[in-house]
Amino acid sequence: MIARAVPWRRLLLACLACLSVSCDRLPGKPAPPAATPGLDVSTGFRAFYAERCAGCHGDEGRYGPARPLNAGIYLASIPEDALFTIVRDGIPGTRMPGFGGSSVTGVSDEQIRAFILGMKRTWANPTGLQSIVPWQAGLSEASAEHGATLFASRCEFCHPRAGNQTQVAGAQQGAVPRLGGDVRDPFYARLVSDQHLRTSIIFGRDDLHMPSVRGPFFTANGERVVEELSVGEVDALVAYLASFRQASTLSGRFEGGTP
Amino acid sequence: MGRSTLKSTASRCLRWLDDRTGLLWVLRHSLFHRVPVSAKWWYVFGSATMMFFAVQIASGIVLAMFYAPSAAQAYESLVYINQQVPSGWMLRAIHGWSSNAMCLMMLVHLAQVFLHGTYKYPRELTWIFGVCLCVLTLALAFTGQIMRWDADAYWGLGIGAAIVDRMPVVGNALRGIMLGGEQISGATLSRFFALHVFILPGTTVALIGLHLYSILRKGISEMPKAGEVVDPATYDKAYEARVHKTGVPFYPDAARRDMVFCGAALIVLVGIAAWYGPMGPGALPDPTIIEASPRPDGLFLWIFAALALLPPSSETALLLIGPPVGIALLALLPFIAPRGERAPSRRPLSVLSFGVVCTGIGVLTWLGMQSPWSPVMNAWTSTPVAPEFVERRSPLALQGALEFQFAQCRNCHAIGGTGGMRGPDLTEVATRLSWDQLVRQIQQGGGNMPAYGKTLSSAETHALVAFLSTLDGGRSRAQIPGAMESQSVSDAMPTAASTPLTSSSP
Ligand code: HEC
Ligand code: HEC
Ligand code: HEC
Repeated sequence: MIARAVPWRRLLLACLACLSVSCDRLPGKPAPPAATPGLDVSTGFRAFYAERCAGCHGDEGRYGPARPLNAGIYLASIPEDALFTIVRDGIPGTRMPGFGGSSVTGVSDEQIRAFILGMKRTWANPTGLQSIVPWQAGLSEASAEHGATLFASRCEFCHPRAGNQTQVAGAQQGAVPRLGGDVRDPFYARLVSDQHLRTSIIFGRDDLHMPSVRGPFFTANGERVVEELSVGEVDALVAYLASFRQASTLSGRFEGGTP
Repeated sequence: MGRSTLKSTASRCLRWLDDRTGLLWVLRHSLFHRVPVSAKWWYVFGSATMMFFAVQIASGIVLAMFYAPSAAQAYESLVYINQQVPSGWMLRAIHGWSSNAMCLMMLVHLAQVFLHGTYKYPRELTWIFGVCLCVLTLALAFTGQIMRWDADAYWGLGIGAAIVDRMPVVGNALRGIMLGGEQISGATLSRFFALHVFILPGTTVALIGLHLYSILRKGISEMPKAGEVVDPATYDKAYEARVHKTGVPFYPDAARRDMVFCGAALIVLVGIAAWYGPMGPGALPDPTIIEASPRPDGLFLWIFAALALLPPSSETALLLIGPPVGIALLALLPFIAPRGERAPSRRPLSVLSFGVVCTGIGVLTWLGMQSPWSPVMNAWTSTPVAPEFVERRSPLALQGALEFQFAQCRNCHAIGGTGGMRGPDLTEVATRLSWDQLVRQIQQGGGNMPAYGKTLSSAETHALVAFLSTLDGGRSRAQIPGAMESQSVSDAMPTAASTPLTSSSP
C-alpha cells in the first residue's frame, strides 16, 4: 500500500509541475484582446464611435437626431475640457448619456481622451473658417425681447409656429429654402439645454439644411439675408428660445392647434 | 530535539485542542459513522457537488484578489488576469467550468434523491436544506455570470430587473434595491459583487453545514428496493438495526468511492479548463463587436426561452407565481409524500413528472439557443436612426427620436429594419396606431413591453409620440412643418396634465 502511494504522489507532483510550466501553451489560453487598447488610431476611434455614439449622432457623425459631430469647425471650436466632460458625464437633464466610469460600459478617462483625440484627428478641420462666436456662452446680459425681434426677422420664415405656416406661394423648387419645424414648442424647449440651442444656432446643421451664424437667413417675407450674427445676438436668440420652457402647454395653440 | 519529543509535543498539542474543542469526537462521528452497505456509486454526486464548491471557494478567493468590481475596471481586470497573472486564465477557466460542474452535479444529485425517494421520512429536513442549497447554487451561478460585466451579464440583469419590476406593489422598490438605482450602473456591479463574494457563499457554507449535520443525524438512506415501504412507525428502528448489523464505516469504505469519483471529476475539470479556457469576458466592453447578441449562460437559457414564448397576457402571473410555487412544492415534497414505496419502478407518477420537467427544460434550452428574441442591448447607442427618419422632422420629433434611443426602446424595436427584434418593427407604426394609442402603449406598456408612465416626463412622452407618429412608411410627406403636432387632439392633454411637468433645463 505504502510502496504504491509514493510513485502516485511523485506522478501528481510531476503533473502539477508540468501544468504550471506549460500552462501558457495549453489550448485554452485566451488570445489577448485585440480591440480595446490603442483608441487613438483612427480605426479604434471609429469602433468606439460606432458602438457608443452612432445611435444618436448618426452613422459617420451625420444625419442623426442629435447634432452632427463630423463637423470640422464645430470640433475645432468646442473646448477640449468641455468635450471631455460631456462625453464622460453626459449632459444632465437631456438625452445625452455619460460614458465614463460610473455608467454601464464604464469607459476609462484615458480611453475617452484617446477617443476625443481620434475624433479630432479624423473629423476636426482647424483650417476651416472659425466662427467669431465662441462655443461657450459669455456673461453678457441677453434679452429675450431682443431675441424675439431678431427671430422674427431672421428665423421665423423657416421656423413658423406649428400649424401656422404659410406655404411660400408660387415658389419654384430649389429656390425655396428647406423649412424647419417649430423651435418654440414648449415641450421642445424643456427637452434641450441652453447650450444645445446655442450650438445649433452657431454651427447650424448643414446635414439638415439649418444655416450657421453666417446665414443665409430669411426675413419675414422670404428675402435672403447674408449677415453674420454677433455674440450678443446669439445670446439673445438663446434667451428667447429658452423662455418657451415656461410657456403653458395647456393652451390650445400648442397642442390642439390644427390649422 | 529527538524525533520522539517532537512527536509527543505534537500529540500533546492535539490532545489540548481536542480537549478544548471536541474535534476528535466530531471527526470520529462523522468519518467513521456506519453507513448502509448498499450505499454505492449512486451516492457520490453530493460529495462531488461539495468538492466543486470547495474548488469554487479556493479559486474564488484568489480571483477576488485580482478582480476590480467597478464598472470601469472589471473588464480590464479580467483581461489582466487572463494575460498577466501567471496561470490566471487557468484559474478563471477552473472557476467558470467548476461552477457549471457544480450545478450539474447538484442537479444530478437532486434527481437521484428525488428518483430514489430519499426525501421521504425521516430525511425531510435534509431535503429542504438541499432545495435551499439548490436555489443558492443557481443564484451563485447567476451572480457569477454578472461579474464578467459583459453583454451577457447586462442581459441577465435586464431580464432579472424586468421580472422583479413586475411584482405588484413592491416591484419598483425591489428593482431599485437590486440595481442600486434606476438603471443598471456601476452601483449594480458592486451590489452583485457583495452578493457573489460574501452573502451567498457565506449562506451556502452555513447551509452545507446544516445539510451535512442532518445527514449524519438521520443516516444515509439505503438503495430503494421495490416492495420495501417507508413507514414512519417502524422505519427508524429497522434502519438502525440494519445499519448496525451490516453497515460499514463511512471511512474508508464509502469515502473511497467518493474520493475516486471526485478525483476523476477534478481531472476532467482541469482537462476541460485547459482545453476550452475561461469564459468571456464577452462583447459589451469590446467596441469592435457591434450588435453582439447576448445570451445568458446555458443554465439559464430555458428561462430566457420561456420568457420569450409565454403568451403576454399570462406572462406576469406565470413569472411571479411559477418559480416561488415550484420551489415551495419541491421543498414541501417530503410532507406531500412522506411514506410509501421508494423504488422508482413503483412510483410511475414521480418518474413521469421528472421526465416531463427534464424534457421541458431541454426543449426550452434548445429553443433558447435558436431564438432571435433577445433585446439588442447596445442598439440604443450603436444603431443609427436612418437619415430618412431624421430628415424633414421637426426639432420636437428629433428629440423624440433621441428619447427613443435614450430610453432604450431601440433595444427592443427596430426602425427601418435595424434594432432589437423583441417588439414589433415600428417603421410604419403611425399607420396602425393613433396619437392616443401611442401614448397609451408607452405609458402602460403591455405584453413584453415595460410601462414607461412613471419614468418619462410629459415632455418626453410628447416628443416620443411626435416622433413615432411620423413613422408612417412615407405615406404622408408633410411632416414639416408641424403636420404631426396637429394630430394631437385634446385627448392627449391628460398626458400633459397627469404627469408632473418637469423642466428639463439643466
Ligand atoms: C442616447 C443618445 C445619445 C448618444 C448615444 C450620444 N449622444 Fe451626444 N448628445 C445627445 C443629445 C440629445 C445631445 C444634446 C443635449 C442637449 O444639450 O440638449 C448631445 C450632445 C452632445 C454633445 C454636445 C453638443 C453641443 O451642444 O455642443 C457632444 C460633444 C456629444 N453629444 C458627443 C457625444 C459622443 C462623443 C457620444 C459617443 C461617445 C455621444 N454624444 C453619444 C444624445 C446622445
Ligand atoms: C433656411 C431655413 C432656416 C433658417 C433661416 C433657420 N433655420 Fe433653424 N433649422 C432649419 C432646419 C431645416 C432645421 C433642422 C430641423 C428641422 O427640420 O426642423 C433647423 C433646426 C433648428 C434648431 C433645432 C436643432 C436641433 O437639432 O434641435 C434650432 C434651435 C434652430 N433651427 C434655430 C434657428 C434660429 C434661432 C434661427 C435664426 C437665427 C434659425 N434656426 C434659422 C432651418 C432654418
Ligand atoms: C423589453 C423590450 C421593449 C422595450 C424596451 C420597449 N418595447 Fe415597445 N413593445 C415591446 C413588445 C414586446 C411589444 C408588443 C406588445 C404586445 O405584445 O402587445 C411592444 C409594442 C410597442 C408598440 C405598439 C406597436 C404595435 O404595432 O402595436 C409601441 C408603439 C411601442 N412598443 C413603443 C415603445 C417605446 C416608445 C418604447 C421606449 C419608451 C418601447 N416601446 C420600449 C417591447 C419593448
